[in-house]
Amino acid sequence: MPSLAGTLKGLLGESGYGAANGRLNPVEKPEMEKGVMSKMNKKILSSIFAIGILALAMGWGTFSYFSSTKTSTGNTFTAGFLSMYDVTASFSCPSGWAPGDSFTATWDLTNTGNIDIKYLGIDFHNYGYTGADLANVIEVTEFKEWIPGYGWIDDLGAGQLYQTLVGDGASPLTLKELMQSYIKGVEPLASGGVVDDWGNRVNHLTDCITGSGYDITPGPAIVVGGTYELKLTFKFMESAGNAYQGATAHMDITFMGMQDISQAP
Amino acid sequence: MKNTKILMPILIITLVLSLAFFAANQPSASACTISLGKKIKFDMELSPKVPLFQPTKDGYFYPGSPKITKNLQVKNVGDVPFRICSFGATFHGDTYLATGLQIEIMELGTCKGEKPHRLYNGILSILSKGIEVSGKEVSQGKSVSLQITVWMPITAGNEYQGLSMTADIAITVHSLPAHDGINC
Repeated sequence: MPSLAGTLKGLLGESGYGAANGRLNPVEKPEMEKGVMSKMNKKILSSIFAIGILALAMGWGTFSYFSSTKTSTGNTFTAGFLSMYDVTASFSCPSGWAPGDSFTATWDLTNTGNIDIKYLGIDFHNYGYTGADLANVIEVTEFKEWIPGYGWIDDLGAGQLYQTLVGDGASPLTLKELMQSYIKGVEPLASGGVVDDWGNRVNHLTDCITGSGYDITPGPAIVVGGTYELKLTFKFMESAGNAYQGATAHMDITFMGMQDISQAP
Repeated sequence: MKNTKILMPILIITLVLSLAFFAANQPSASACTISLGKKIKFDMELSPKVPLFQPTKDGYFYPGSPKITKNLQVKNVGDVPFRICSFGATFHGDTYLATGLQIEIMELGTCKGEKPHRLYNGILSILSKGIEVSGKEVSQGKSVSLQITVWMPITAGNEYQGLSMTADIAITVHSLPAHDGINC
């Protein structure tokens, strides 16, 4: 068995049997010896090839990065929901309602959701009338809100003075001014904004928002399980003339529970 | 014979180069021992092991609700340094909720005065596809804290009201060469 060095020498043509210079050496070996050497060389080559492949595989295995994965399980995310007990209450003025007469209407809203209603938007819309425009001669003499956990807010009283913020900014606050709630000196807008029921441009269709801006309520407007109450007292103004005899007016009031002012339409 | 003469040098060169190349790219000295038949430990632990987010403690999500932040510690309990390389998540329940939640994952500094390193900030649902990140080196026996913040953006709509889901958040770490990071 020849040594590995000797075999490599032979394979590279450094012995007398090779043909490194492209010519045969002076002393030729017998054909039988050549055949044995060829077989040995093939065996050695196969061995080296196998070792190479093995080294490649081992190298590849160690080249790969180790990795480990762990999982934090059972993380629960739940979105709250806003819900108010359906408000279907409607009111009608007393029959034979005449100038100087008043009546009070109330609405109760219960937060039946599982998160607080931070802001409560109120929108008067779908206004309509027959005969004369009755909303111009109906005065809002009482505008109060019961905020659960806080108490009553008198929107027309000290600290709030809602009548100075909208319309002409002076008393009396008419139903028309309350429904439109144009911010004094700002609305209606000359351009931009959105068009309201009366065809004027305003920043928001929402007329007033409890818990926001001008409102003295620290918020939230309605805590979970709390019941909010809106109380409005209307007075048929004495100044109303005969033109309003037999006139009718109607409107819808929409309450919107919100988490952010930006959600107000 | 000619083929033999050509193949031999190629084989020898291939053999030598492959050994040299792979030896130079060993993840660490410890990793080398694997090829010698010794077993090393490559593992991590998460803490706490209880769910991070629980609505009974954290409250409910709603548009603009306060952000909820939790810390998760990743400890290297093996013999090889690693770094966090990917996050994944599996959702159960009302999985649509994941499209309405944002998540930010910060890797807190391990050195004094070291600033947190943001690994991901985006929609929670994206985690289900798996995301590649590049965390810092965590040496053997050391740990790194992940600050995970989840919130519902103010722009989220009513379609998410009342939805509830559970998320299993997977963290994958990779070994790394021993001396390519900054050790504190």
